[in-house]
Amino acid sequence: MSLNGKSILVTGGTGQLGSFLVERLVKDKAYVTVLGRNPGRHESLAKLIKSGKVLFLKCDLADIRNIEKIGKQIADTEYLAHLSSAMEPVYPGFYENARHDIALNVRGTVSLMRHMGNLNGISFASSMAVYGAPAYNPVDEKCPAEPLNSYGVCKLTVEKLLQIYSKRENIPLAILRYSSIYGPRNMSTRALPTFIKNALRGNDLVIKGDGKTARDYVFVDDAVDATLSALGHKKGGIFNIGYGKGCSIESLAKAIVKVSGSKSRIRKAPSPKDFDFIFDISRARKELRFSPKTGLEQGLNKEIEWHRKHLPRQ
Amino acid sequence: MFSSKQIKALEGRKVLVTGCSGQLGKRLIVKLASVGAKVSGMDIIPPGEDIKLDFIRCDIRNQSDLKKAGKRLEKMDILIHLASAIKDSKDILNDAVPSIDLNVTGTLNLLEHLPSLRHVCFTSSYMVYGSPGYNPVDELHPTDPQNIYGACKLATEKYLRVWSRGCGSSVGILRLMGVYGPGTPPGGGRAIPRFIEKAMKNEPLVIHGKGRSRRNYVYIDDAVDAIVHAALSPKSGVWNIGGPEAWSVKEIASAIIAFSGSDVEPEYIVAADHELDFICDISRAKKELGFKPETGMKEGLNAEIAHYSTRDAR
Repeated sequence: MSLNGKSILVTGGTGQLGSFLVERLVKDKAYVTVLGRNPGRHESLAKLIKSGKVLFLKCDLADIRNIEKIGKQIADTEYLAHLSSAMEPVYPGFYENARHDIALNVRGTVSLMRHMGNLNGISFASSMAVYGAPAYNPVDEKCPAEPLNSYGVCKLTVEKLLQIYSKRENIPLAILRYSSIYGPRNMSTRALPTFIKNALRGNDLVIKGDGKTARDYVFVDDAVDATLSALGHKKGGIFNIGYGKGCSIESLAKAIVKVSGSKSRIRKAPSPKDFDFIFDISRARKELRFSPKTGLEQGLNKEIEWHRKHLPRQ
Repeated sequence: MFSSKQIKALEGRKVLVTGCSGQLGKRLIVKLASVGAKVSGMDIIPPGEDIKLDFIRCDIRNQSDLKKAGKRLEKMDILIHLASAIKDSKDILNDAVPSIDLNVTGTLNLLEHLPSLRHVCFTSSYMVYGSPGYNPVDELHPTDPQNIYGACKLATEKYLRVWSRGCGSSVGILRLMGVYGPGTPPGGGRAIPRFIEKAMKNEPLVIHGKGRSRRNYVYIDDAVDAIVHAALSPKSGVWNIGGPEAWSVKEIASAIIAFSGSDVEPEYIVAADHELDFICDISRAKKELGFKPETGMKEGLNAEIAHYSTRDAR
């Protein structure tokens, strides 16, 4: 379905997935409003905002008063891409952090929905974190959800609340559970961007454990494709979005060293065995016509080039 | 009923019961005292003059309330967590936030102030399952809550399991079937107390749909037994708790009419959503907790009717 001429609200629109999604939506001639905290985080998005092609509303979803203030400006939203969330712990303590997660993700979503009066479709960015250490691999959508952290619990809770809402209001809801998204603008502190930064600086790449743990890395453009397709989906549902293949941490590190042409060494540090996680993406392939196009080396190359330009001088 | 080993496990242990002034809480406190436990109760109102216990007035939504209670909470070993919002609405926009605040955030607040806790028994609900995909519903059935109550119970379960993994204390989760018996408050959409009230007033009993859906409601004293069993077993797990017999709404209505000596008729109202059986499989609790529900529907309904009459006479 074309989103040409539709009004679309993207929460978390200044993040990695969000900013690429917004660019694609603008290209597709949608009317895009972005909710976020920092409009200047990525240059290309800042340009779109400056030129008036995107309306930016500064809003912290953890603060209800913030949403009240912009309520009228988002009331006519036809399609909602709800991506905002705290990717990594904001507070050091379990309890403070969990309370913040609940305020931002769970309560924030409810407050946001209170201002939606005209919706035709919702796409919610959930995460592999809802599964925790999966009961089996590859992980399909029927795998039991047993989150290991507050982030995963909140993603799962928002899924459930939005499902109740969507059923009652008869609005299609697509829940996308993404695996590890990578590519340009990756600001996370996880293994993949950390490896890249170290490779570019000539530092050792330190693998925790035996390096055999397999994970599923999906390139950001592919994740954007899935999100766009989900936004216009008539029926909705839960979809795993990943590359559909596993890559061990050791092969990841080797690929990064190779693609970046780095002289870094790869080292292993003892660590308890971590769980494998590989997505079964057949449901998304079938129903969303999702087909990840970017191979690991190709995707890594793009992320490496981005870090090369943005690496702070040491 | 309880083994000497179980009762011995209680010696010198301090037990905190939240929601101690509710229907289950009051009977649970009496039961715990009878097996020799040192019980403190927490609620926003005291359980009543006839019940003696160390009462801590506290709203778990307020961190300042918990701070004030500080010293009295420091040495608690076992938490039996019954406190909960009970509204089973589907109206996310208006009813979700109070449930999130009390059930989810409130539980985190509470745990934060119980530093020496070794075991938690949490009363969840069959509503975490949503519509049954098969019967009887065992603990492996997918969790797809259809109302806010179920969604918040599920979120609390998941947070407790994350907490348990982090600190090593055990968490026993009881998914209770609809509880009936003396002291069950009418309202909250519960059919049995509503039927009894109507029958006693000689007013028609209103049944939504055809009244064919069957449930294995659990009698209050059996539910209390299950809670004591789970509180005394320092192990983690999820257990369904239901009654020994599955009765349809229609059968319950006829029985109540007969037992109460009323001559009213059931009145059927056309409804679509209420025709599914929900029978929970309690074999896991039988095997792992030694749970054995002893009260059949006939006996249980008679006890509730008798209780209603004496209360009414007063």
